[in-house]
Amino acid sequence: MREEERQVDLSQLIKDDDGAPYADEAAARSIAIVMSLFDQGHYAWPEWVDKFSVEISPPGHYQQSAASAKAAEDALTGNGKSINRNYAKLWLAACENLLLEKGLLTRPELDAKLATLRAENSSGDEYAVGDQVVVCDIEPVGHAHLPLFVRGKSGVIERRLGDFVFPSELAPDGSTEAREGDRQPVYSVRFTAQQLWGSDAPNADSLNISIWHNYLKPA
Amino acid sequence: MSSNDIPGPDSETALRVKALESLLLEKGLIETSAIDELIDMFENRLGPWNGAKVVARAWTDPDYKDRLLQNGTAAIAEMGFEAVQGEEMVVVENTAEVHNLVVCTLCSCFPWATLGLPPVWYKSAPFRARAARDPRGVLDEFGTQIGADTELRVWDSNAEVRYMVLPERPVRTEGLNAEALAELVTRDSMIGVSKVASPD
Repeated sequence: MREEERQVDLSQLIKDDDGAPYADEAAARSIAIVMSLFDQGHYAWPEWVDKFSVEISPPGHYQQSAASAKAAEDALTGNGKSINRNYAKLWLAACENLLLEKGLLTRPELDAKLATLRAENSSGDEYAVGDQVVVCDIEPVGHAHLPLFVRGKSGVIERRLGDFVFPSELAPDGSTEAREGDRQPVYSVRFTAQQLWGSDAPNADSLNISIWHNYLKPA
Repeated sequence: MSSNDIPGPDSETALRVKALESLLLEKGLIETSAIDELIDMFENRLGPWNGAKVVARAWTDPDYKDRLLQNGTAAIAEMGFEAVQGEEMVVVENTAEVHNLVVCTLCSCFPWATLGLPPVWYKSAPFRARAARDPRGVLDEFGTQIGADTELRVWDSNAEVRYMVLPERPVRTEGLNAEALAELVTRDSMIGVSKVASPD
C-alpha cells in the first residue's frame, strides 16, 4: 500500500517539476547564505553535507534516530510545492545548526533577532475579540497544533489567551523545540458546529479551540 | 489548497531566513551583494544548458569525449564550467548496452556546475528510495523504455563525487553541429531518467 502511494507520488512529482531552481525567495537566500559562508572558508563543504544529510536522510538507507528519519521522509513526500517548501526548511535547519556549532552565531542571538522581526511584522496585526478569522488551510510538518477539522474554516476570536511559544518545525530531531523567539499570541477561536460539521449539526452548538496567531488570517 | 502568501509555516521559514541573514550581515559575515550574486548564479549561469554543451561537444569531438570519460572534472573545466564546491565530476556513458541513472540517496547531491540545482523530484523521498531499489520502475515513471537485456547501472553520489550521464546521441542527427545538438539535450537525459529524443 505504502509502495503504491509512493509510485503515485513520484509520477505526480515529475509533472510538478517546473524547472525553476528555487522554491521561493527564502529558499534562494538560504542556499546563497550557505554558499557565501563556504566561499569565505567558514567551513569545509563536507561539514555542510554532514549537517544537511542528517536533516534529509530517509529511513532504511542510513542509520540515525527513527524520529528524525520519519520526519525527513514525511517532509519530502507529497506534492512538489510542499516538498520544495520542506526542503527549504531542512536546508535552513541544517544551516542554523552548522553556524551554531561553528560558533558563528549563538542561539540567544538568533532568538533575539527572530523576536525583533516578529514584533516588527506583527505590530498592529493582532486580532481583537469579535474579529472574524479564517484558519490557514496548510499542511504543516511535525506537531502542528492545527487539526484538520478547522483548516480553512471561519471562526470568531473569542478571547486572547496570552503569548506562547510557537512549536518550532525546525528542530533537528523532529521534536517541537520551544524557543523564546517563537513566542506569539494564542487565541481562543469559536466555530459554530455547522461551520465545522455541516448543516446537519445543531445550530446553537459550537467549539472553541486555541490557535496560534500564525495559523490565522483575517476573514 | 495552500499558498505562499498566507501566514503560517511558509512565512515562518521566510522569517527565520531573514533573521539569519540580518544577523550574519550585522556580524559582517556575509554581504548582500555576494548573496544576490550567488542567487543570480544559480538562476542564470548554472543550469543544464552548460551540461548540454558538454554533451554536444562529446558527441562531435571524439578526443574530447575520451578526455571527458577519463577525467570529467578537467574536461568540464576546459569548457569553462567550474564546479561550485570544488566537486569531482565523473561522467558515465549511456550506450545501446548500458543505461546509467544518477541518484543521491543520502541527500540531494547534484552536479551544479553542469546541471544547476536539482529538480523537485530528485530531492523527494520517493525518488531517492526507489532509484536505488527499483530503478527500472523509476524509468517507467518517466516514460523511459530500456530493454530487459540492457544493463542498468545506478550511481549513488553519497560522497564528494558528482555524476553526470553522457546520453546516447539520437538517430537522425548526423547533419547537426554541436550548437544544434546541445538544443536537443535535456536535463533529465543527463541524470539518466530519460533519453535524448531525435529532432522532429
